[in-house]
Amino acid sequence: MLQSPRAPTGWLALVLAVVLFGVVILMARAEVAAPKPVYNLTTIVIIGILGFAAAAWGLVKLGARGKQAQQSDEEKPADYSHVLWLLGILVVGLGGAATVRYFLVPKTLGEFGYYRGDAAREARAGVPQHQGKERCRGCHPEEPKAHAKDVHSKVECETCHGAAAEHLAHFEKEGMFGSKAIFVPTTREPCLWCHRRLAARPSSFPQVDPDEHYAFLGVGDPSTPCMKCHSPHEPLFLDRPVHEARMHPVIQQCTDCHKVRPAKEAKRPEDHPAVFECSYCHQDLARDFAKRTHHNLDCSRCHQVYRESPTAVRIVKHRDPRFCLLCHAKKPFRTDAAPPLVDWPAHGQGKADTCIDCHADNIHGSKPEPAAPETP
Amino acid sequence: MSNQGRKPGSGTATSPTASDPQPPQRPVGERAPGKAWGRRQFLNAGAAGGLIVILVGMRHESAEAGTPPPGEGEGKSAPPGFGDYNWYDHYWAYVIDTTKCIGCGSCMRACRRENKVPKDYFRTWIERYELREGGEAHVDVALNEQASFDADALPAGEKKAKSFFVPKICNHCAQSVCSQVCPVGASYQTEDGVVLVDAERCIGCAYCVQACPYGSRFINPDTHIADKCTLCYHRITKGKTTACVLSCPVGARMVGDLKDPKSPLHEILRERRYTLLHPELGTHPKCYYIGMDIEVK
Amino acid sequence: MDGYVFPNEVNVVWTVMIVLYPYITGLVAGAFVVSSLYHLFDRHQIKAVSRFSLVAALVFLMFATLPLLMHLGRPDRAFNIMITPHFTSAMAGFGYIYSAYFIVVAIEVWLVVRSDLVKRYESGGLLTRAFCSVVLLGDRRDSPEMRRANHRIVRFLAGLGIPMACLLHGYVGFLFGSVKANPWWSTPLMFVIFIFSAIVSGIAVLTFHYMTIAWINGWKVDQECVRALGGFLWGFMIVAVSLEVLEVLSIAYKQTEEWELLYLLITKKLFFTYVILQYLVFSLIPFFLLGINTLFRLRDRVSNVVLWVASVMLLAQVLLMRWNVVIGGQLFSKSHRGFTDYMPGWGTREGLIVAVIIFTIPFILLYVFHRIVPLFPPEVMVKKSKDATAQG
Repeated sequence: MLQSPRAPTGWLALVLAVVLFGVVILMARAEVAAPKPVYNLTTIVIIGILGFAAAAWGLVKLGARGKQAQQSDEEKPADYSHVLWLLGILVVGLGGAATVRYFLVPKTLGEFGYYRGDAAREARAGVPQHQGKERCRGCHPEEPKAHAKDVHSKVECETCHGAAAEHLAHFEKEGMFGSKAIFVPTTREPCLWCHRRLAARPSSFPQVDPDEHYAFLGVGDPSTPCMKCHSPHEPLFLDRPVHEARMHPVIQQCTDCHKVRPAKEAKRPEDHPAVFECSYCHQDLARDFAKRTHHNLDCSRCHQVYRESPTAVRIVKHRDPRFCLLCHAKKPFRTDAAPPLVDWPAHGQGKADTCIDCHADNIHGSKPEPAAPETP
Repeated sequence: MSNQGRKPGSGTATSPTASDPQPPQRPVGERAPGKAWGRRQFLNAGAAGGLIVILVGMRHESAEAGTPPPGEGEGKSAPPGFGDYNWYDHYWAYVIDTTKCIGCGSCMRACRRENKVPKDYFRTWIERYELREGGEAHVDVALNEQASFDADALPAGEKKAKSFFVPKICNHCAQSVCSQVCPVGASYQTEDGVVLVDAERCIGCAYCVQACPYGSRFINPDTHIADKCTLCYHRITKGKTTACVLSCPVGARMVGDLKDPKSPLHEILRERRYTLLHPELGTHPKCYYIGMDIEVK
Repeated sequence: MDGYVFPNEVNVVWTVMIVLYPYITGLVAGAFVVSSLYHLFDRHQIKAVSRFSLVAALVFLMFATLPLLMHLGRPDRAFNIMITPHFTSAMAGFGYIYSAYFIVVAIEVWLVVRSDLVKRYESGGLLTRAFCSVVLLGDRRDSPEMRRANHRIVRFLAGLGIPMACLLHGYVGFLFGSVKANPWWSTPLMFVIFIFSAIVSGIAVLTFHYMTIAWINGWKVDQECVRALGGFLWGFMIVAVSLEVLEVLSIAYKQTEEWELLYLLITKKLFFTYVILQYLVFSLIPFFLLGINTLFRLRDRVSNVVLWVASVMLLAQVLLMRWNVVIGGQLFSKSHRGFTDYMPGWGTREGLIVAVIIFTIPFILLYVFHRIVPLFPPEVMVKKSKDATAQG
């Protein structure tokens, strides 16, 4: 009956293993119950591994066969010394690596989460490039005045002109000399980035096919920039901001048009079968307009209908002669295909402030009985 | 465990075949002559090494859990180093109204200028969908330098059904996969809901690029680390808006603070119908799309 | 590039380097399993390659990180993965798992070659003595008791190493299988597929390498060993290929939303490398060859040729499997509408020349090892006698 001298070691090891597992279970329970991490997961895992190691040690020691079964009497016990030397080096090496790691972990890691807290601070510290139109207004007071009341009022200065940070830095450094470090569109391409007619663009958005547009207006050279006619800051020469333009009725209920509600399935304006045309409500005006010189134009060509919100729509009536001049101004690049052209302000000198004062008949008249339309 | 407290020579008493001469027994654990390490030395070293490893492990990783959802961190004071910005008071989200987008590319150009995005890579981009009458869609992006669409995609003669533009951006997911798979903790979500990349920790392994279901991330060819939309973090934390929202001429893009009761985002999300991209993947993206079509992935 | 690809996805980011990395760690895992079959499971038939497989595992392990370093955008920050590992990521396990496994294999090799190193020290010149001294950590003693201790520890490590090898290679499979954004990668089976195909590649490379060395040096091939290896190879390859086929059959059957895209991927982009090469050529033919070899008793000469050819084909099959998974998963866009192309460069940092170099150096290093400490037992390194060639 062999009483192995190592047996008490084995039992002690097993007891230690049980203790370590108990610690792990208690820590894990506390961890699960608490809303925020209490213990370090690595610590729990390491203690668990040590528990398994102790259990393994104990089991092996307890189950170790006696010396007789393992080896003959003449043989000496197995010599592990070289391995212990290796393991010692290994442990010291790992301990050293762990210490080095401690010093290499960034200080702010774990401040808010598993990332470097300073990274968020650095992300915030970037220098903004776009400045916003208030900053532009500081040095350029004139352009924003016209810009604010025309149809480009919602378009930021920097959308067309690029970020202003370099422009500002340049002026702070160089004064008024040298390149201005800001983009000034000179061709028609930047305009077409928004206004080219594309099938995918919402139809309510003003868009043109540049070739069609130039052919209609008698502009021969396709490299002519849009800005030759349209001022980029006030493209339509509105005489008042579009938000102050006249309200246009919006169809809300059936009885807005029908005296009696039709007994049909359609209950909402969107379900109404026909597309609304201006002439549906404005029949007399439409009949009258058809006899006048501008009859080939759609109503929307001159009357911008602006949907401000689901319930508020505004319509623009132009008074500024510069709007009419978009089509009718005599310019060197206009060909014979153009509509009748005039020299402004020479044409209107002293006679009138707006085109309508004289040419109401060409549009749709304020007079009740239209005169014979002027032949073009 | 290293010293059982035995007296020298006590081992022999327990050996059953004491008739054979045994070599003199040493105390357990003592070094054998000529050997560098005995058992005791080994165990001492092991204990010391283990202790070092445990202590080192305890040093960090105290907040292993992800970012708390909004609601937590209420009333917490601003952490130091952020100026007058308290990120616990904000939670950023993004709304895109695809019915308004005109595909002008202003947002792409503005983002490129603001964040010095390298050529051929995109922190935001606009997709154009043109559906043929049979239902098959043609999709493309304006990849030219001006980020502009210069013509319709499908030829004029072809019968078309609907066509529209869809801006795309990093969705700043509440449970972002990119942060989950980053092996070094370089991809993270801030307390105010913005997913960022730590440019000093990133090793450029591109795991996050693979993991992002939306194609929002790329490896920057100049810095060789992961890059993506930062929601102009350097702007929104200073009271400005993002470059893309600033430059959109039609108001199709909106960024807002869900913790701000006055933010227009609340009304929009309450009244308009919206959807998310790939909600089935469980990433909880925070970019809400209004008027979205089923063709868009 | 056809269809619509997200603009950031035009370039493939995980290149041939990322194909090579799981391939090399797969060779490691397979070689280690073979060595453990001898050291722990007492399969004495494969004694001829027992030490060779262990050292091969170590040598391939040394070069496993090179493809990753070539791939990383910032290799100077490579140690971040050990300094701040983010354990929600499968990739974060790489640093510690690889290091731990490296230590285990290195210790096992050290113990196995120790006695021969001591002998070499005694018979070698100045340089050899210096080298042996360093490797032996200054302890140049040897004795039967030490060898017994070595044997016991080697058994222990051979056992401990198997789950670690599974972890080392399995985590790569998990890394791919857990990417929910990619329908070609996302499957719970990926972990298992990678492990089993790794074992196949490891056994195949050992069989191929041993037989090639024996042929070059004119040694008589240890028939019992190669037949046993052939048997293991057949068994593991059946499991590996079955799992691969099962995975794709499953998605083909379920036909959920992503099937339209994956169908195009398989039948158009990957038809040649996946259907033709990976399955029809390099799976079916080795299955047939190894089956015949295992089930029927062939003449030694014929059996060896069959085994050699089958090993080479299976090496190609596993490489193609890695290629089809890694590259295939990036050929389609997450837009589900388009495909892109990938052709590795030649001389670039992640190009084919670098890949070939990285893959070849371990074989050269094994030869250097062999010159210092013989990797085969002396009874294996016996030249064939002339009349032995007449024997079948």
